[in-house]
Amino acid sequence: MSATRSLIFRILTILALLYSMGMGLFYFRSIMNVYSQGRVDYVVKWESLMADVKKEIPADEKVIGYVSEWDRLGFDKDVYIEFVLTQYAFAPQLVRRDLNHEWIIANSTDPGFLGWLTSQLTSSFTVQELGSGIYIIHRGDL
Amino acid sequence: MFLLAMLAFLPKLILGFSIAHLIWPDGRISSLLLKFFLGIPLGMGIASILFFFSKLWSLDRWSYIAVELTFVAAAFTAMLLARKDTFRRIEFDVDSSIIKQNKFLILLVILAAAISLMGFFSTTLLRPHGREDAWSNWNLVARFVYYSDDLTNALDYIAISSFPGYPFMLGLDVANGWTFVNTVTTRVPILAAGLFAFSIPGILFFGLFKTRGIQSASIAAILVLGPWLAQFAAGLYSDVPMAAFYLGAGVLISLYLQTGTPGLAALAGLIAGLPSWAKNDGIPFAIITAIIMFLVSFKRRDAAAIVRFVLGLALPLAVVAIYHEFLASPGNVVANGSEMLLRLQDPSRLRTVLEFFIRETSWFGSPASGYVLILLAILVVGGIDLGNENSRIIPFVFLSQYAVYFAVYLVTPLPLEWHLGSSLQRVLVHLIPLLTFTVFSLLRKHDFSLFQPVGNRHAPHD
Repeated sequence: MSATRSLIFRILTILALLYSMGMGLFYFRSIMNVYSQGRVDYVVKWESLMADVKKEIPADEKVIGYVSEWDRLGFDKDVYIEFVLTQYAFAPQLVRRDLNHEWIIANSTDPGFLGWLTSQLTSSFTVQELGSGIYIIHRGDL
Repeated sequence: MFLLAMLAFLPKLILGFSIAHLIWPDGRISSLLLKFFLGIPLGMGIASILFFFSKLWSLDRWSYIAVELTFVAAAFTAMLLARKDTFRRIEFDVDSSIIKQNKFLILLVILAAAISLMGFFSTTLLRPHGREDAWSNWNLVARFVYYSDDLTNALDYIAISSFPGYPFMLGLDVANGWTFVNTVTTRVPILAAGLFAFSIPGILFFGLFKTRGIQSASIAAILVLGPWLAQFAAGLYSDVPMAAFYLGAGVLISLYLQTGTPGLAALAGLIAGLPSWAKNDGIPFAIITAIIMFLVSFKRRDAAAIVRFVLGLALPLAVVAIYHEFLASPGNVVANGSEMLLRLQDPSRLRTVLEFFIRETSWFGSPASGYVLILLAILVVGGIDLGNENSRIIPFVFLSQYAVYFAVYLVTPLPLEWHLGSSLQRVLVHLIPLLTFTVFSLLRKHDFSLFQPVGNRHAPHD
């Protein structure tokens, strides 16, 4: 290898190392910037919200129903994520997008949602509002 | 809680090291340190298999802890009894003169590791549950496993999930950790992810130290400790464990090619089989490495090598076979034969996959850092050395697995752009450490004396 090429190689290697470590520091700084703004992770928030919901539903209920704007207006990434996070919070109880269960979690902040939901339920039920758009539906006949 | 979580994983690390040293009883300090880092993915993989069977047999918490600790104690005692000579005659091939000559580079490695660890832990503070794939897949499955007496709930969930038919080594490791600390805490998956992630620079450093010398080892380790490692590790993805397994297998095959030591072939087989227990993507890796080892054995007329490699593969693959045959639901990525043929004949699909692969591979890293371009530039400027068998064969392991991933996307029944966009970066994570090892194995030997103090330039170790 010629002396010039060897020198270029050494310089390239040094630059690559500095670049890699610099990017590492840049990444750390950007994470700490976000952290210092006091932003709370949405998974942590959802876990905390679901902790209150879990208190209202019997722990021995194997499958829990779930209904949201996904069922009224169709798929949306946000409503999908809230559904999976609800399952994450409730495991090992299964959460199914289905109204044929004694206990159902309803999730929507839209004022028209509850009216739509009651029209879907044919038998008697009670609704408990927990805030943040979360309702617990209890169907006594199932 | 963090210390308790560390205690929960300590038996796995002892198990991994004990098995590695039993199979490959090399007493050089560089080999012992390499086995320490290889012991992390190895121990975690084997402990997850143990935990899997304990759940199948519905063992309660204390019974399982007793079984695991007994198993670890048996492996450790067997290792001490069978290999006591290696500890009496440890050969210090990483000595003070080598460290002195390369102290600046070694300091940079330590600094890079510190930066990477800071990046990892700060990200886990921000997102303690990891990224979507962690809480929607692996850690969710871990909760089903932990809270249930057996695997029925976990298997029922996987069957209706977006990843049917997937094995769940990482979920088992996390549930195993929770079983030891007796509660569900984010500290356990964070520590599991950190252990897998930071085994990678260790395996790479000591693998290259043994095959190429300390300077190549240090430079490769600094590069692999870039921000991508912290970010993907803190995402708590199962892709980082895959990377540790692929790299471990690549390093061990390379050492086998260099030394012909029988135990290395068996240990390489064991580590090459474990990724198929973490994700289905690992199955082709086991096949590829087996084919390569078969060809090497044939050429060297060393039938024992392929036999040992296959024996190593047998344990993880037997568990994977049991899982797929009796427990798992069918997967959703591989389509039937005629549909696959139709997709292969579609040039627009080929163009899309090619575009994604070129873009995502070139600019790999997060934030996009051009990691692969940097490696290629180093290789092109530094020159390729094809003078030894090692450098001619190792690239095939990487290229074959890369080609398999390319082919899987070509035939995927899932919406193509969505599938590529949502998974290609993570799939590349599997291969980046192995690629780094491959590049530095191919690179011509250099004296990186620009890193030396002026007085030491006469004695580089490379």
